[in-house]
Amino acid sequence: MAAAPGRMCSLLRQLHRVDCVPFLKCAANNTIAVCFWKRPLPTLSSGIKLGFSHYSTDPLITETDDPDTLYKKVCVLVKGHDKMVLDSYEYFATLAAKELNITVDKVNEPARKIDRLTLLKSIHIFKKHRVQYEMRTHYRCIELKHLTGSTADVYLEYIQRNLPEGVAMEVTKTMLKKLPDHLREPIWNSDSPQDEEKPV
Amino acid sequence: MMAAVPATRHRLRSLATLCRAGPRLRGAASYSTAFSISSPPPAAAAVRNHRPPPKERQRREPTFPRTEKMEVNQDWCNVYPVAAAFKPSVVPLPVRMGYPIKRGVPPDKTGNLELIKIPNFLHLTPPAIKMHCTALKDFCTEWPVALDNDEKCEEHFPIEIKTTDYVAAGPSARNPNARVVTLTIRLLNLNLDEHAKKKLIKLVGNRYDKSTDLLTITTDRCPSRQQNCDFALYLLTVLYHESWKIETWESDKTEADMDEFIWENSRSEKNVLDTVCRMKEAENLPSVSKEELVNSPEIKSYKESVVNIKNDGETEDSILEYKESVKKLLKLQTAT
Repeated sequence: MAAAPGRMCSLLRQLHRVDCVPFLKCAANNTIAVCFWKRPLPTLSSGIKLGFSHYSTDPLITETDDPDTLYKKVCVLVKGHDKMVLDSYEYFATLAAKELNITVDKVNEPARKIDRLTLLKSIHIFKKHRVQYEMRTHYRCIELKHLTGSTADVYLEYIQRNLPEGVAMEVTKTMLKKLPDHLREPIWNSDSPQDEEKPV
Repeated sequence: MMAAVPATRHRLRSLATLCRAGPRLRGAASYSTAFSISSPPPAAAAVRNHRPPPKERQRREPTFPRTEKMEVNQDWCNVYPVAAAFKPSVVPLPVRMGYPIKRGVPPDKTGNLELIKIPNFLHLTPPAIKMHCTALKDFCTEWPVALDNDEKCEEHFPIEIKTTDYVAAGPSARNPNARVVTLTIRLLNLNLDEHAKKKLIKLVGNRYDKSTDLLTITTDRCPSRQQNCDFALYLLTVLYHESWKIETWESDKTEADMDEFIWENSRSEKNVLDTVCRMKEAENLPSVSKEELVNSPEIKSYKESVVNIKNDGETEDSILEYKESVKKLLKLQTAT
């Protein structure tokens, strides 16, 4: 028991966001959030079977039976007013992805957008004298491939907690889903005891 | 603790002096204070008031910036463990930033507002990132090795659901666009026959892309993302089942209603077979069965050219092809 809070304390220190960390708050109370610990283990026989892994040396990490979600692609688009800040952030994000064994598909820089507005310089008359303001938004897109739900949650939380001031982010996730059983063939073909033809 | 002991000593001393003073001060003895006339020792005063006495304050040693006491092989993660503002006395780099002063160099780091304003990544150096990631690695899971390319992903998981999350500072953390859900599926992966596929394409309209065979359903009519996701799956189910249904009035379909030209059992086929049979009779050749005629190369090429013109429209190439096939059929001289 003494080791467990110690381990979690070191983790808290490492992540350094003790005040506003719902997951780690739960961890401090020794009830760990369920969504971290789903471990799929596929086998190649007749499709993909999702079960749970058979190794668990850490008593803090619990495994659940729910299968992990699979993300084919996670696209992280960061927007900011300063290009150098986005450069540094991109270096941080790509290094973090490499350390967590996440494949980075591509990193590209969409063209910047400039919002300009022209206003009158004086409060009264002097229509010929104006002043112009502009807002420059720079973009950076990091595409990651083949992530599981747990890994995506961990990586995105880490990335988002270290998002600098004045930078916004949009994360587009493409989730893979199996074809539901009721779509394999029309439901009136299968011998089901349902009266209605269309499932709701 | 140290503060309390001298105070009590003083109180006792003052009480003793007051008692020795006699009956005149008996009234005063009831409220004796902890302070006596003699000056208190300097250490006690410093601890009580949290300020060194005036003489000692002047003799304070000048403090050097932390950068001068740093070792070269120190652990930088301990200097900037969290995101913090740039402190010139803590960062040992000779950084300069800003517009050059009087055509000289940019101003140096002490008292430089530009360096404080810009977000710094001093807490996210590569060793710090590696340290964080080693701690986070336990919570990650591995991608199934069997799904290494897109085709296998699609084979086992044909449905793709796209959602967007937004992170931005503002008056509200919520973004109404976060509820939008896009579902894509390739019609190959759905169990549909010819009629069902055509009906489904007619039902969905421009949500189907013919070149990539992708059906895209975008839902945003529900207030939450989960509801939109469920609605999209519900729509897919309904479309699938509706496309398998055959209405009674579909049997009244005439040739004018057909969306593409089918050669079998059409007037064109009948005419061609008629012509060929009459040609053969006129030349007194033995009559061949209908199946053999249909499978003969001339009729096949004629069929292809007619289907081409009817379905894809009239182009120069298609009309030339038709001409060639007709010539071959009627055994006229071809321009080869």
